[in-house]
Amino acid sequence: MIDFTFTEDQDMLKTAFREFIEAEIAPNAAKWDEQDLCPVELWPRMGEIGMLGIFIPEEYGGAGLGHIERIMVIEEIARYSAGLAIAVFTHHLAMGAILDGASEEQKKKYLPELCAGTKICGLAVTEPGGGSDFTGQKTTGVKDGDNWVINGRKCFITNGGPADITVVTAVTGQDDRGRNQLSCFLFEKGDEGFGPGRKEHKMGLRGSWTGDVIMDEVKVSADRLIGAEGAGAGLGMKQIGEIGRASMSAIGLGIMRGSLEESIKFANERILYGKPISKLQAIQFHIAEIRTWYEAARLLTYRAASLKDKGVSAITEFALAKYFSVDMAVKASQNAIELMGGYGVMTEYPVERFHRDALASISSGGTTEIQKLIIAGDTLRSFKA
Amino acid sequence: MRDKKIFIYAEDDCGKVNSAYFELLSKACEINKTIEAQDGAPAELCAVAVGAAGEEAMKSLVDSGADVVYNIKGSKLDVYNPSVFSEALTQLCKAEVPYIFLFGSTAQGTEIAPTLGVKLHTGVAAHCVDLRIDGEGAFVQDVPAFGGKVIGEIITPDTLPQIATVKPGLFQVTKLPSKAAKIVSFQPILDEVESGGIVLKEVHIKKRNSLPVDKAEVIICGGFGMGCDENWELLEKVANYFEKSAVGCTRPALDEDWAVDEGTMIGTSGKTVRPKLYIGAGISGAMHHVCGISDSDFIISINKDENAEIFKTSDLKIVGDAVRILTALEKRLSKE
Amino acid sequence: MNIGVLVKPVPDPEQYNTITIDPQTKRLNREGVPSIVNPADKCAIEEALRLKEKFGGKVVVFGMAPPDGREKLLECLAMGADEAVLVSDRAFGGADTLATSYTLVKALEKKAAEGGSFDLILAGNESADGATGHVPAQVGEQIGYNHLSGIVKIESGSESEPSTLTVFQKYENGKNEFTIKLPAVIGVSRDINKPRYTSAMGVIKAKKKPFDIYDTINLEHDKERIGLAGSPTKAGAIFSPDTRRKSEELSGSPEEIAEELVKRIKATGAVIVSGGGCHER
Repeated sequence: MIDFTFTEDQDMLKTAFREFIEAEIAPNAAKWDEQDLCPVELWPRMGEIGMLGIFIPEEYGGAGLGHIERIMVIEEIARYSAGLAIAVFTHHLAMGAILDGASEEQKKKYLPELCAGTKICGLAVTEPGGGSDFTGQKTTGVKDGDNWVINGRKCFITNGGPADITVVTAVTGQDDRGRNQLSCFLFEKGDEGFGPGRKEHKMGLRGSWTGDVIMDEVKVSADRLIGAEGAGAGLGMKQIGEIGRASMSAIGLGIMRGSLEESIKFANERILYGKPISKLQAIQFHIAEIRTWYEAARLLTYRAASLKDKGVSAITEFALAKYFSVDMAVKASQNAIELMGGYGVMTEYPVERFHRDALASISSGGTTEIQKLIIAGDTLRSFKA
Repeated sequence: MRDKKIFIYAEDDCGKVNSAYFELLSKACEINKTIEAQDGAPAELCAVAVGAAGEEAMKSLVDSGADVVYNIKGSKLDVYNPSVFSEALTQLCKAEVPYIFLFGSTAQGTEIAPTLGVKLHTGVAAHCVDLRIDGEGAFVQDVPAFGGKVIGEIITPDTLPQIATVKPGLFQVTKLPSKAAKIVSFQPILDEVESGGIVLKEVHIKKRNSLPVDKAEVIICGGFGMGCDENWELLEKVANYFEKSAVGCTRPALDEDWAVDEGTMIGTSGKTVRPKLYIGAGISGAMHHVCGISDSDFIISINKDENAEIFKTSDLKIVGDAVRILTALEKRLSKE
Repeated sequence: MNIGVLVKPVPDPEQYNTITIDPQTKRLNREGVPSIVNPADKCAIEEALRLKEKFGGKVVVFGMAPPDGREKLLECLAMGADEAVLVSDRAFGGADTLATSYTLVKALEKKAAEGGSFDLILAGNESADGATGHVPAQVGEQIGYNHLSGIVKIESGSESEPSTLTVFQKYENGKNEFTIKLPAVIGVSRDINKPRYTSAMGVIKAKKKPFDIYDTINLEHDKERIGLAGSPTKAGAIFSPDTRRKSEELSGSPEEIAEELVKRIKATGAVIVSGGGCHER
């Protein structure tokens, strides 16, 4: 069996990130939520300490670490601000597509600035017709001599507004069985015909920009194609299936840890009948439940990440982690609200925000039902009947 | 027989004697009662002035209630220089062998006292909150640790002098009858001392709009719970309704840049205050702040967290939003 | 410019309210309070790194601590220091500031003899736990360098490596501006700077940097001057100060509270100035 402890370097990394997060993120999280404001000014600072390029090789300006460390970043941010966490991992998502699919030249061109946080990026796949029905997409890319012309509308796109660089999937042809073939394109802010559309107003995960991205006769040269023509579905799916789901699991972890720590703080400070309520068994049960869910979700999530770091495909493992972690984050934040009584629903305390964030996390990276389909498919294949 | 001497450093404060001297002298006088009871004779209370102590300062030292005033003079002592001052004091200590040497925890005191500790190879107790002679005649120095959460007793059993520094403002000044102290001039040999290593080039005196917090009788103190810059002005407005008042702050408020003068920070790493009235607004009550206010006559605290630590140290507690309460108070005061 | 920085692991000051004294044993109970690098010492590292970035050289951190102090020194390396020395031995324990600074001086001298002398030694002005503020002065005095504490600003000029620094010391009425000749020991206040955050890249490099451990075997010393034996001060009993007051609660609307407050305020002897025009307070 495996040793489940973090290495000394990983612990040190956590300490370093926490110091930044507690000073720069924690005090502002409620404000970002209330104003639905994405703190873009933090990108260069997060870049400087290596949070953005954490999993990108050093030659492209990254820290050269792996996905365990990347998930750690997301969990630590989500402990205080799930909204910022989704914006940061979306940045990771698009970098993942560039790292996996782009040419050496493209990597050298785009990744250093994205690692440094001097530019923000996003990945646009979902369309009004649905997110998980990849091949049913309506956005098209048509070859025009050496150039491509892209038309379409993407929706629910995180970072769509602030992004300087957006990786977009578009239908560029059909295979011999008539199914749509997708390719990935990279757009820069200012490309003619390309830009953000309507911004959505969400119940949770606020503090990240979510909305439409519109392509109206956008003409780009061939060097904006990321990966091979027709390879876009695989490239996009891989990022969402691994980086996306892993990150949503990590957001669940952050929300659970937040719920746990806020519950403990409240239970120790709140005095009833002369004693802190943490001495009451009914309160302890709430706390024990959150702890158990948190620990279980943590094992699933970090195990999936360790598989990815070993180069093993971990689609099912990430589906398991995402399903469980987010579902439990909903329950954990509800527990925290119940534990705190009337205070739990007040915006002065963060747990109501945690609950909204947890609910808003269900659909991101595939709903619970999608995760179950993946899990069931794999289970029916790989377990002995 | 008088064989014990208690030295008290009389620091120059723009031509006057720093107030810490008088506080320490009052305390030394109190300690001296125990010494007298135990030894049959009191110790000699000695003011120690270094450099060009002016006429005004000398007069106030002579009349301060001390028995002796040591006036250390020398050509290299006109301007404050920690290494030269320390050497001069070392020579005096070697000549006179004081039993106890007290310093205020001022910038000078906290530089010189530990330096003397090395030069005389003796113990130094820092930022003492109380001093006493115990039943066995030991000089017990109470020093704070962990931001004042814990007080530890320190003794220096085998070496002399027993050096202690004390935060200014902590001990109350008792007016002592003048003993028309004898002035003893002391000329240290400073030819060998390098005085060019550290040179005081300029003193930048900070202009203050209000009383320093440790001199104020009414303190309106704000903490992190004040929330923002604009709210901070409310503290000033309320303070304006009181004579001899000042606005104080905590470390977090300073870190947020709401309070700009670090000299107004109250607590173990800032000032110790003992006003008639202290009003704390939006202060959680971390131990390092509480230590700095615990000698106030009356403490009123406003915090929206009903379990805030500060309430335990308060005479009057108000659970509520500090900004709303202070706004109402300001309105009410305007009718006075 | 070769700079030595003295650092100390301390229990996290944010959690001092949770420190208690065991009523039976009268010992300190700091269970569950994690150690951090003393906040003012991080400012000293930051200042050292800025000087190094300007003039080159190296930054060596020294910490006298039990063996687990290694982790805190690694954090200093991750922040950007080049080398670390952990001064650790049971026999160094129980030291007061005089014995501590003696031991640190021996370590500084040993490191200087091996890797080049130090132009500047920086330390946080005081530790959050003991907070004596003695160490910079006592190290300076024992190593024979000029020393100043309570420094809030260091000016090093912009050209070549300086032989003198201009420093500003916080004092009761404002600031004292000194020049101090190198080599020197300077105690910096937390107001001097805001230390940088540690980066992931820094963490990765930390373990690859030189790390020495000095103990009583490899560090030349006078055993009468270290630990308890070398400490002229002895620690006696500890207790918690009782700061509790009656904590009477005032409630009602803000207006009602204000009405009652004014009555209570008058009873304290505070003098209310009508019109609130007391600008010359």
